[in-house]
Order: sequence, then C-alpha cells, then structure tokens
Amino acid sequence: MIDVASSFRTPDLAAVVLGKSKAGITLWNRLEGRPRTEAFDRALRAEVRDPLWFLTRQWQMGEFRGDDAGSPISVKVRLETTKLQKYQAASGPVEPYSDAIPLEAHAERARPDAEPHRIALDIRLLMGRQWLKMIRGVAPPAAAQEFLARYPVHEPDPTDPLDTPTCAHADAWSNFAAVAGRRMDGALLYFHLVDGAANHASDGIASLAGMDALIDPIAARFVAWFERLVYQPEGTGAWESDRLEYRFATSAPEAEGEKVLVAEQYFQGHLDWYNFDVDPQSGTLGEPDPQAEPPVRTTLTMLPTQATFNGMPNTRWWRFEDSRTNFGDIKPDTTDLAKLLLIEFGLVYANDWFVVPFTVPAAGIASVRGIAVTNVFNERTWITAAGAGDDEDRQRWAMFLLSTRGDARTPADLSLVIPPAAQKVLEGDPLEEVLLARDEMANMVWGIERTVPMPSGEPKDGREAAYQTRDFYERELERVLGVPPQPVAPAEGAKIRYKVMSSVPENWIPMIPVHKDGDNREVQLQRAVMLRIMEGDTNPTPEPVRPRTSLLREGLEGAQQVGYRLHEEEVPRAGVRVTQSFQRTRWSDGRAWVWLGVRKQTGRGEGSSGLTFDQIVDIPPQS
Amino acid sequence: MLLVTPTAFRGRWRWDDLIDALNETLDLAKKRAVEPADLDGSPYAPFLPATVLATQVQQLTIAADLALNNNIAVRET
Repeated sequence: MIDVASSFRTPDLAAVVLGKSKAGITLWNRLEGRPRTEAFDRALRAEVRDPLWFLTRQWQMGEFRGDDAGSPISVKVRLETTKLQKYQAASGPVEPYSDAIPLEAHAERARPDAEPHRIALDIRLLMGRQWLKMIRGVAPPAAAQEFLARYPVHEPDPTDPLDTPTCAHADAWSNFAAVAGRRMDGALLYFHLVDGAANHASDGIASLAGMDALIDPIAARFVAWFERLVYQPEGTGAWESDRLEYRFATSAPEAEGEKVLVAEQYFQGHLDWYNFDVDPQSGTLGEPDPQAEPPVRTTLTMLPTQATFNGMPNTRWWRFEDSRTNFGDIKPDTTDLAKLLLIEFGLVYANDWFVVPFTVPAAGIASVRGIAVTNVFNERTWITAAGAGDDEDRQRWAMFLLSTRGDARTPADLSLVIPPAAQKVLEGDPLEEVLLARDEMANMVWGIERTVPMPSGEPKDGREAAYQTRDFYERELERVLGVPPQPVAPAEGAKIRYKVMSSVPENWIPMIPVHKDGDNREVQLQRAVMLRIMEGDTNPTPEPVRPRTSLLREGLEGAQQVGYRLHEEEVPRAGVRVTQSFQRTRWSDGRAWVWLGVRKQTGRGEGSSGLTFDQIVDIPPQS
Repeated sequence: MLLVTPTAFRGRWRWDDLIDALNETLDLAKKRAVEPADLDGSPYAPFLPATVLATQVQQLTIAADLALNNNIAVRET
C-alpha cells in the first residue's frame, strides 16, 4: 500500500529551497470535461441546467425546424356502400342471400342425417320427446303408447351385420337397450311426414283417427321445429371433398354490374375478409337482379381529428409522458418484424395520422370514391389510397385489401369487405376427427380416424372403437367355430416363418396414389381398403374395413358406390387434421343458429403404420 | 417564454430589435452545445477550456498532478 501523501512530501523543504538542491520544473496539466458517454441513461433523465439548455435540447431534437405545411382543417369524403345479395355454393345454383343468416352457417352447413350416423340416437329421442310434448294437450293419453309402438327406437341385434357399429361398443349398445321399447323415435315420424304430402301424423294411430284437422298443424310445426333445430342445406352445399375445403361465391351490386367475391379455399372455421378474392372475369353472379338494392352513396364533410393512442409518445422533448404504456420498454427479438414495425410506427410516425370516422354497415362492401382535404392555408389536396397500384406488383400490399384472382395486371381493388361472419362461435367437441398423414416408409397416405361418431350420438376415440370392433368380430368367430380360433401351427422344426403382411388398426384407412385420368405423371390419392383378416378362421372370406366417419365415407352412400379421390397437394408433409363438429352462434337479431361444420388444420407430421410385407418372423422355440 | 429587451431604450419597439434578439437566442442555443472535442481543430485548442493546473516534477510548491491523483500514473520512488 503506497502512502501517496508521504511520497509527495519533500523532506526538509526549507533547506532544499534555500540550497537549490533539487530542480524546480513546473508543468501544466488541464482538466477537460467530455459530455459524451456510451450509455443513454444519464441523458434520458432529461436533467435541467440553465434556461438556455432548454432551447439547446429543443434545437438538437429538431423542434426548431420549420416546414411549409398546414394542418388539415376540413375533409370531404365520398363513400359508396353496398350489401351482399347473392350466394352460390361451389357450382350450385345462384340464390339470393340476406344477412339474416351468418354467412359461415350458410356456407358450412351439412346434414346431420348424413350416413353413417344418420340421425343419432340423442337427436331421435329429442324429437320423440318434443312430438309427444306437442300433442299432449290435444291427443288422448293412449296416443302416446301407440306412437311408441309404431315408431319405436330400434333394438340392436348382435347377429345383424348392419347393427355391428352399435353392438361392438358396450356404451352405445347399452344406450339403445335402455330406451328400446320405452321411448319414441321421433326421426321415423319426421321422415314419414316429409316423405309425401299425403302422409299424416295420425296414420296408423287408432286413437287419433278423425283428428286430422287438429293434428296436422301440430305436425307441420314439428317439421318446422326440426328444420330450425339444425340449419341444413337444401342441395349439396359448398364442401368440396376432393379438396377438403369449402368453395362459394357472393356478390354485391355496384353502379354497373356486380362485384363478385369468391372464397375458394375456406377451411379455417372462421370467416373473415382474407378468405375472399375479387373475381374480375364474371361481371355478375348468375342473372342480374332488377330488384337488387342499389349501392348507397354518402358524402361526408368533417373536421379531421388527430389519431391518438394509449402510450403515444409526445413529440416534444420537454413534456411529461403519461406512463401508462411504455413503447420504449418493448424488447423485440431481431426476427420479430411485426413488433419492430409497431414500435417504429408508435415512436416515429405517431402524430402524423388523422382520423375521419364512418360507420360501415356489416355484411357489405364499402369503397372510398375520393377524399379532398383542405388545410389551414386554404390549399386543397386530392388524396389517393396508399394501397393503390398494380395488383400483381409484389411490392404493393395493404392491410384489409383483397387481391384479385388471376394473373392479369389490373389495378388493385381498394374496397373494404365486412363479411357477415359470426363473432363468437361456440364449437362443440369434434364429432368426427380425421388425421391425414403421409407414411414415407409405406409410400402412401393414411387417413387415421381419431374420433368416430357412435350411433348413440357421442364421439368415441377411433382406436378404441377399432379395437372393440375387432374384438366383436373375434368373439363372433369364436361363437361360430365353437372354440377359440387357433392360428395355423408352424411346420415341425421350423425356425422362421414367412409373414406376407402385417396388420394395421382398423381406424387407419389407406389412401394410395393413383394417376390422374388421362395423365401418367400427376398423382391423386384414392381411398383404398384393408381387408379384415381373422386369424384362425377356417373358412375365410375377408371383408373390407370401411371408414366410419362421413368425411372419409364420401361416395360409399347412395345406391351406386363411387370411389373417393383426394388431390395430393391437399396433404402436405405435415399432414392435415379435419374435424367436424356442431357450432352455434347468436346472430344480430338475437336468433341462435346451430350447424354442423368442418374445419381443417395442420396435422401432426408424418405417420408410420408399421405396415410391412414379406417379413421373416422368428418362431420362438417350443418348450 | 423568451424575454427580449432592446439594446437601446428609444421609447418604442423596433422590428429589427425583435428579429435580432430571436436570431441571437437561436445562435446562443447552438453555442451552448459546444463540446471540447469541437474545438480541437481550431486555434483556441491550446487555451480552451481554461482549466489549467500547475504541477512540479519535484514537489517544491503547491502542485496538482492530475495523473497521480487519479491513479493513472504511479510515482517512482
């Protein structure tokens, strides 16, 4: 430890000075202040020095720079709004559309009585109960029992192959067994009523003979009640099964012709402006309707207000900020482009924006025909849209603007579309869920039915359902053979065995690549079948394993069975997950809409079924 | 707020007085921000800032050696 003070002291100073024994060399050193540093903490404290320092800081921040500019004082805007008035599902007929129905429900709906679950047991019981409640005041008490006898709930028979989907599962079977013979199946009555105009509810009911005048209006109410219960399509609907997407088009009338919007690939489950494209080719959707509501023109003359938002930084240095939101505290990653854009907008361009409000009617298209701004120096400026330009220009993009279909170099479409989409949709648990996954080892695609609908109405895990079905068939085989089925015994002394094919669970439906018609290069996926091979069956007649979800059963219903082809590009490497569930929303007039809709999401990657051919299997030594 | 007083009291305000006062204020605001680094190239560099202290090699009188005081250099004993 050096004692600094002592090293500076010259011992016996008086003698040294008098005797001049040491040289007295004088130097000068200067202390300079450096007002710069690398960290901004001290500077950001905005310490106050003298009055001139206020002005200096303002000069440094550029507050003394003058522009020859004026603030806007008056804005005149010309707007045109029009409503969506026509709808076309896929390639179906063009129908009028009004925004009394949410467009999602209109596009997504599917029939709940589609095969294979037809109308499930829970809805049947609901319908039966509703019918009996409706006629309770009018019909004699014996009528209920007679309806029950005439339209009973079906009792499943384990020996009937049509009832295997019910009898293989204990919970579904027990549901049916509990109500068979005790409750009325309302769906049978409904089908009877809609089959022909001459069918009456009182057909075959002895105690209601002659009461047609009373019962028929109730029957009509019953049919209308069911059709309102779940919103159902009249025709085929907008679902394209070879693409696993919805496709539909709407149009709104304009000054000349119509603006046609197409939603070509809608599968997200929630409809919004980005699902639509403008179709420039077709001037109108179907025939022009003379009764269509023409577009409404509005001219606004307003005083524009400056746009402010919470946390907007004050552009002057010597002002206190309200510290509720701190833009400077956001710490974005170098790849967080959206955050960086937001911070830049908030900090740099904050006070450059003015707002002219206008309420756009929902379910329509609004376009700004022109804006003229007058500033305080009485100069008028004509404003064009920021997103204007060539539609095909890669550098041009603006939020909320639709793109025009096709490659033609048309001017970009500058209208705002507010589709009549439901805001809050309550989505039930998926009734059906199919995962389409690529299997690279087997060089094919598997449609894995992860959730299958039960005849009793509940969804069930697909693998569990597959095992239970297989178990059911094995028990059937045991019942037929009389003894538990034995696999074929290997030859004496054999150490290895040749296995032609391994098995996959029954809920894995194969989709194999086939060439497109007339093309020997492009490939599509076609649904194939695995055979149900029972070990130990002495008289084998393998049946094909059929899918159990309506998503994959495409083409199996109806009198003539057709194959199901899926475009190969719809199953990417990550796979797709398609779910069908009941959805409910409350619309602007207060009415609740329930519909059955399908949704497609990214899958869970590639899958591997374990399907192998020509295997050599070791035979364990017999002890 | 900037308080302006005219250079000579003539009984009335003159437009030039106001303009000159404003220009001088803005110039002073810029001068307030001058740093020692800005003067390094000018002829005033050896003299400004005038915070010079004397020191001695052998400490025979009052001296302030900033390098030793701030432990930048160590005295050889």
